[in-house]
Amino acid sequence: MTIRIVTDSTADLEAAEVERHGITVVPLTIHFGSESYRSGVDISKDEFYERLPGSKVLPGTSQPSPAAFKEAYEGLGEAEGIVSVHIGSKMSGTANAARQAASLLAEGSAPVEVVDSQTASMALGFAALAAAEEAEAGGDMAAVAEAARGAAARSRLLLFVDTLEYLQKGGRIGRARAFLGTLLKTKPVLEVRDGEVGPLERPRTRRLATERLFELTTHTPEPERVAILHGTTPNEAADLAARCRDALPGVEVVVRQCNPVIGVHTGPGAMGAVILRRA
Amino acid sequence: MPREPKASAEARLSGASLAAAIATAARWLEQNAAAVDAINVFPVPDGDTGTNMTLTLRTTVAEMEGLGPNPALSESAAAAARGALLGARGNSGVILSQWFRGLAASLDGVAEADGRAIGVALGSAAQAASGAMAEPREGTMITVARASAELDPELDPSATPVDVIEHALALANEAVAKTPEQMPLLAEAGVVDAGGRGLALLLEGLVYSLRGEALPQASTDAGRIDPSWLVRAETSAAEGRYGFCTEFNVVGAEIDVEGLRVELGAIGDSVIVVGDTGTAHAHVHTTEPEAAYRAGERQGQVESRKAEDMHAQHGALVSRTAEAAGPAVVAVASGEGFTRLLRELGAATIVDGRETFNPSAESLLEAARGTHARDVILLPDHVNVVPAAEQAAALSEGVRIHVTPTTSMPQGVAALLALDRTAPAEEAARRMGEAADSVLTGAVTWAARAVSAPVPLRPGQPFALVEREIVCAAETVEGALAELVATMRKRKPEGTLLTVYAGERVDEAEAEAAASRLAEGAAEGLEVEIVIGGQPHYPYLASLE
Repeated sequence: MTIRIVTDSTADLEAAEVERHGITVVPLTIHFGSESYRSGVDISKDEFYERLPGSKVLPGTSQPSPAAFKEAYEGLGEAEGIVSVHIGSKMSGTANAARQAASLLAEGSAPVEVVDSQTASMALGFAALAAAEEAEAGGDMAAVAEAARGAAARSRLLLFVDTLEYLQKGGRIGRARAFLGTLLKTKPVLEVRDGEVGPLERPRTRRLATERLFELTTHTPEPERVAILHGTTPNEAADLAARCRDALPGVEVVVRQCNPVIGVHTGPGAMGAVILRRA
Repeated sequence: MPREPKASAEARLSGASLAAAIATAARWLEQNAAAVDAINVFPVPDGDTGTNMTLTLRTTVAEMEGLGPNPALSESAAAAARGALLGARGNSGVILSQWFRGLAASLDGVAEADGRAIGVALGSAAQAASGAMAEPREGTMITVARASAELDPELDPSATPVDVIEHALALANEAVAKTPEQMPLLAEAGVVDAGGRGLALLLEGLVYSLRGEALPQASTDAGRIDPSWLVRAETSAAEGRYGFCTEFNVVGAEIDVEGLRVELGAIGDSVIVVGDTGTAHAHVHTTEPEAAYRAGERQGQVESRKAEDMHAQHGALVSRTAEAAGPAVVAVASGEGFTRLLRELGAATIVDGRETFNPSAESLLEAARGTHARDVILLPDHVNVVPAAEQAAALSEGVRIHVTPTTSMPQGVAALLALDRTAPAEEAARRMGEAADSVLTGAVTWAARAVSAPVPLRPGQPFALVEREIVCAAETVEGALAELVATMRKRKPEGTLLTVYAGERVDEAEAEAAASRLAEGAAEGLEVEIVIGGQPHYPYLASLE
């Protein structure tokens, strides 16, 4: 039985991984004013972060259209089943668009199961990879979808921002405003919990924030895989990844640039970590 | 470089597309109504802005459903304006109805509109919305409406209607985020303007529909009112200042809209009267709803009377908010800057702790009870206040008090920064204590009397303390600060951030000068941040972490 995996551009998977597992990635769209670009197709992550600070209005993002998903599903004609794993529905309407597309497929098309990962970035990426590995091992639809759900649930996504400017501009500071404050400089650490981004801690300096990220990452029990995330600081991310490798022997630690859909709120200079715990 | 943007969306907006888009926007607002209700503080925190806008949009949509197939854009817009006026609920609903009226006026006689015409219509809508209020205030829905229409003049002239509305949405979101800067009330409550947020959601709903995208299943999070602010607001509610949110329609032949506005202004506030000589809608916050109806009766037949007790509505909002908030923090502080800072960092109540008036256990207990929280974490912020705090915790009647024994305000700041409302209160208090202990604190002050050891001091002479231990005397306050910082750096060489709090007798320029001297003199790797603490007795307090 051939089961194929579909995910979206917020998974932060690399081209090689996508190719190796035959994963289909459907892009979300970034809007700079009236100009629209498909993330990872029309605009690279570097181009996005280059343009972000100079943009007069905060760029918007929108989920792929149901038509884009329908096309992606129909393009997998040979598959006997499709598991479509996506960014959490509290952060984006992507999973919803995927569900709509699934309902529009012709009779007799391969069945599609949409998984709402309740998370994003490499936490979603690890879920898509887990699903692909389960499919390659011969698992059925239920097992593949469960592999994705399980990996997403076992993943922890942490981020700290270098500036509150972007959270503020995007109106996403909302509930966090009282927590984050503006009279004192802080580099707040945020965590995705129950599908929503919430504030976790308020270290005062970038060095302390990086240190907390290291501690939270290495103190998470039973780590299997780790991804260090960054917006515009690949060297700092590489240093942090090296320290995590030393502290966690045998655990694979990769470095990923964070996708624009999250980057638009966290801004340049943000760093983060995804920790996948063992099953 | 990025490729050319992909072509998208209709080049011209039809009447049918507008109707469909407003229906989607109404659903989007309805889905988010509770989130908007939760941040409603202006003009009165009665928690109904989202609901009122939703109900107003419901009649708007109903009126548009009566249109024939393929209506002209002008017919569609006129139906929206009519429906919104008929169903206008609350301040925000009335402003919304006027926004639609302006939109319709601009699109009068237009069968289909391009992006440019939509831009012009948004401007007309904003202008009409602003005319709805007798005394327009900045930082409200009106500000957001106006900002949304201030389109980038360099916007591509071939932009489609949805491009223009999307651009307006971005501007609206930006304006919403700025509302707390324009209205201090919002900043105090820790929220953005509810009506403005509602208008942005409306625009967002239009964009979803016109882009052909489904609405997200989840609603958005607009934030929550600082519970301590609500409790303070309750005090004014108890004084009966809110009265009734009174609304009615007047049907007549020669209604004097302006005259009615003046009459209602004499008996209340938040007055809105809109309409024409034949039909008008009136809204006023007053303690005398009957007097408002009588003013209406002098103009014609009064229909759809509604008077809601805003005090009762406010009370319901208070209890909804307190339940979700977790442990509250009560901190003892003195100085305007520290009071603001601790509040911003999440303290529900600040007890004034000027040293000569050390707060009693009883006053701390009272402050703790006043937060309406089940668990309260108490930050004494001074060594002399710790015993009173412990005593208050032992009394703990009607509230569980957990003491984090901070001995200075900079420690209180460090503790508060570590507040985790999701942790059990006892655990949260313990971790706050650890955070307070992890920073090294110091102070500069003047000797009250002559002292001989450990450092000889004349009365009035400046000296410095690290963690309450005298480390040096100096001839000037600035000299004491420099020595203080040098000593602190020696004790905690791994520290990278020095925060200096300037006291009430230090003006801002002096503080800035001191900070830049410290930054210059400091070795690389030390960041210096100056904060106006406004504390008495200590020209400078400092913390190193």
